[in-house]
Amino acid sequence: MGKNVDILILDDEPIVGKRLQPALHRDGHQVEVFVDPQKAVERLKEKSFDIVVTDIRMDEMDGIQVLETVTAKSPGTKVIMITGYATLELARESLAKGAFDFIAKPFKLGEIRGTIQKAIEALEKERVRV
Amino acid sequence: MKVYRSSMEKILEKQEDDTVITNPKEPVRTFFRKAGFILSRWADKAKRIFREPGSSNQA
Repeated sequence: MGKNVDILILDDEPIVGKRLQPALHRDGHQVEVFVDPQKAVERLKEKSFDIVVTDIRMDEMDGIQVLETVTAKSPGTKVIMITGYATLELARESLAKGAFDFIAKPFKLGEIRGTIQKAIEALEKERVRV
Repeated sequence: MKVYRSSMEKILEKQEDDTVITNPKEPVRTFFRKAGFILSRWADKAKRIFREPGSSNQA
């Protein structure tokens, strides 16, 4: 396993964080879980995370808005979008706005673990270049 | 390559990796929405592959 990183998980369905947090924590990562997008954005303004995993369709705030907030504040952060309402247009919009990857629900925990690993490798490559 | 302390550890990690994360309120609809998304991705790829060269210039 590669370097350990700070990860923020945002999904208004608590089960997503409950499943992801212990697995990623066991991999050695620092994980913070939010179900309220406003609170997550407040936290993102306080602290820069290496990786953000965010749901797209939420009641109070759109995941795309979260992506825009993250890329504006810390462009180096890798944002992984997850959604149960995946469309090609949404995937294209997410990637065009700087998302690292787009994952449609349902997905296996191993799939997001793999994507996080790729994001860590991309972060490491960028840090070597700087 | 990851080194496991025991074969049980490897089995447990495999089980964990196979855990499905979905929208618990509508798992069936979410499944079919993903199937639709995958199909539209394939259709889009096929369209790009079979598009005749220069056809994008016609309008």
